[in-house]
Amino acid sequence: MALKVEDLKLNVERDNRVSLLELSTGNNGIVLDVPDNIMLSTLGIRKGKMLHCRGHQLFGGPVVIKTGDRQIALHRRLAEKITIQPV
Amino acid sequence: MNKTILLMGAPNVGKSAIFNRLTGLNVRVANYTGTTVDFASGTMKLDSEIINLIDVPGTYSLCATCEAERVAVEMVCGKTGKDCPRTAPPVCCCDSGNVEVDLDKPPDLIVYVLDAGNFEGGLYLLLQLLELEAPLLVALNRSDLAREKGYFIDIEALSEQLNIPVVPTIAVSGDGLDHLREKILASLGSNEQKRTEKQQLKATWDNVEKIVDQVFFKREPPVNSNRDKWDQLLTRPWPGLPLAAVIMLVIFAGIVGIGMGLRQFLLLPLFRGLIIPPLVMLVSELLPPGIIQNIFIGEYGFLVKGLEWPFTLVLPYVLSFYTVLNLVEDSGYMPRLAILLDGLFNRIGLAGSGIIPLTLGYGCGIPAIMASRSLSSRKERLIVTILVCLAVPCISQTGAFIALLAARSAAVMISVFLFSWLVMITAGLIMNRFIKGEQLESMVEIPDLLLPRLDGIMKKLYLRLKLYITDGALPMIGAVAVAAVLYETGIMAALGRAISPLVTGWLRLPEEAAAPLVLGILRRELSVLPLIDLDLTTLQLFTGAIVGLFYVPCIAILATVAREFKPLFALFILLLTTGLAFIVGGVIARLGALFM
Repeated sequence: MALKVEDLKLNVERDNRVSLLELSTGNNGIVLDVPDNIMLSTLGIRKGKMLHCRGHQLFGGPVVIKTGDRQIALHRRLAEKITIQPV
Repeated sequence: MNKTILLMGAPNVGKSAIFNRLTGLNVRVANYTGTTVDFASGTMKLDSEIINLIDVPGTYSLCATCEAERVAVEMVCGKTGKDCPRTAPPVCCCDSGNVEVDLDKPPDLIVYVLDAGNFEGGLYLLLQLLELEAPLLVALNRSDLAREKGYFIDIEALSEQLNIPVVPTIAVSGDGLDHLREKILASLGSNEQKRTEKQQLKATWDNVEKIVDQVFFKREPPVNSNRDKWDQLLTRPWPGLPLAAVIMLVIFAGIVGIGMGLRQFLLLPLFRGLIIPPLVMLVSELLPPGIIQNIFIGEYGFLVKGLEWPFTLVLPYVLSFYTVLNLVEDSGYMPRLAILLDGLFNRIGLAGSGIIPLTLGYGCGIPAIMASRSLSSRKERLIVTILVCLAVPCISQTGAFIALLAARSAAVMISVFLFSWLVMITAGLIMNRFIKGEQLESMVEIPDLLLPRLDGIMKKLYLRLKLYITDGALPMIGAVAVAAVLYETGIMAALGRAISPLVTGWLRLPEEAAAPLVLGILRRELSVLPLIDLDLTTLQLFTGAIVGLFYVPCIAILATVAREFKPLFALFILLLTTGLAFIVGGVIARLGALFM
């Protein structure tokens, strides 16, 4: 299921990595880099995983993402630390 | 010594539901993470053998990140000898039919509850436990939900891979539980684990994914059900936020409406018409008129007010509040509300999930303070606790407010609630500035929306009702009896005269209003109820209600605060609430006089 990060880099010509915070609603991205945090890995946010942005909450609230079939709300500061490759 | 079984797993996978099924006990279950913050223990009977079963708080891994998780880690660490962050010793819930548990002894079996709908997330902790060579058995719960999502899990292959038994269960309906009992018995019987013959899998995410690849299959693309549509509507700011406002309004109106209906058409006729008059007649025949008779059936007569207040004023709202709360809890809406409000809550130093203990506080402050354990920082716990003690009226007090204010002026009642929110926001902003703590970086899993099951709701309501009778109504009757004695012996009047400068001079209330201030220390609603029979102006009503709201949050809450934090903190709460009640009350009495 999970794509290898290395394979992906070969396939994408232009490196347009962004932070998860910059992924807009309805788009997908693959995790390239993620802080070492057991909660994140348990929730399925690990290198090579596909994330789908479900929306951004107002008032500086969290980013809601979907990975697999799990829905997760991440604080903006945390989302900023996660680097993704939009696909 | 009885054998001990630990029930473990990630948060919100249904451990408590399985625990209840196995033991016949009732610990609280709800559809959000962190319902079990202490471990609960009970016994089950298997084949004439009594076995201790311990419901461990949910945890994602063996590195604890919050109070509730630390409790869990410690329980496994007790046996493994591995280092773990020891904090306060785990406390056993008091309402779960306690059994003696020896925590130093290794558990004889760990029943690991794995959510079939969130299969992958639970595997890591399972591998960690396997690494520790703990005797394990897997209950693959929520298999119904997994099927609906289009998942198929090859149970035999999973069992083969892990080399431990795996039993599919649906805890809420009870399916698979008999099978689970059989397997538990079999596992306890064969003490020698035969796992040595096979290479042990290391706890890494690579291995987790390897297992998933081999045993987990998904129908692609997954069925896009109505669930998803509702989820989008409720979770996105638009239309989620306006919908949240509508839902809150419906909830509020529902609680007040159902409560008033129950009071008007059921409980009031029942008690005023059928139960109290014969009691009054009986007492007036048995006892001569005088102080003693008055204690029973006089002004504060505890056979009159002592029955009317708890059963016709408060009980209707206890029933309506918990019916509605149970519906909301089981639906999975609370975490959605939490993320919608997260940004705003951050400004008062809380993550959005702080809304859960605060909401519980509108029922009773004690479970609210206990539930604050599942918040991730000490700062959040302090803020939630102070807010609950300060300005969240418990359901008894809300019932009292409705009785006192709704008939006279709905506007005053709504003002009391608006004022309480204003104070909470102000207090939150101040505390966010002055209480030290790390920056919040919350991550929350949003559970699936579930249609609440009627049997579950009714069962929880029944438990609440029982708890209310023993922990709410009986103490209230006792407190009214104390009031009756104080009143009839003239002590109340003397106390009233003693603090009358405060009551009449500063708060500008009649002298009799000293009674609620004395009684309010015992129970929160008693700081309001005695005002009902006084002839107060609208301004006095508002002043009295506000003083009652901020006043001492009842003895039981102070005791809980002292136990959960420090006695000194409870003293601080006592001074803060009392001080604020009088300061704000006096200011309102004066400012209000300018306008009215």
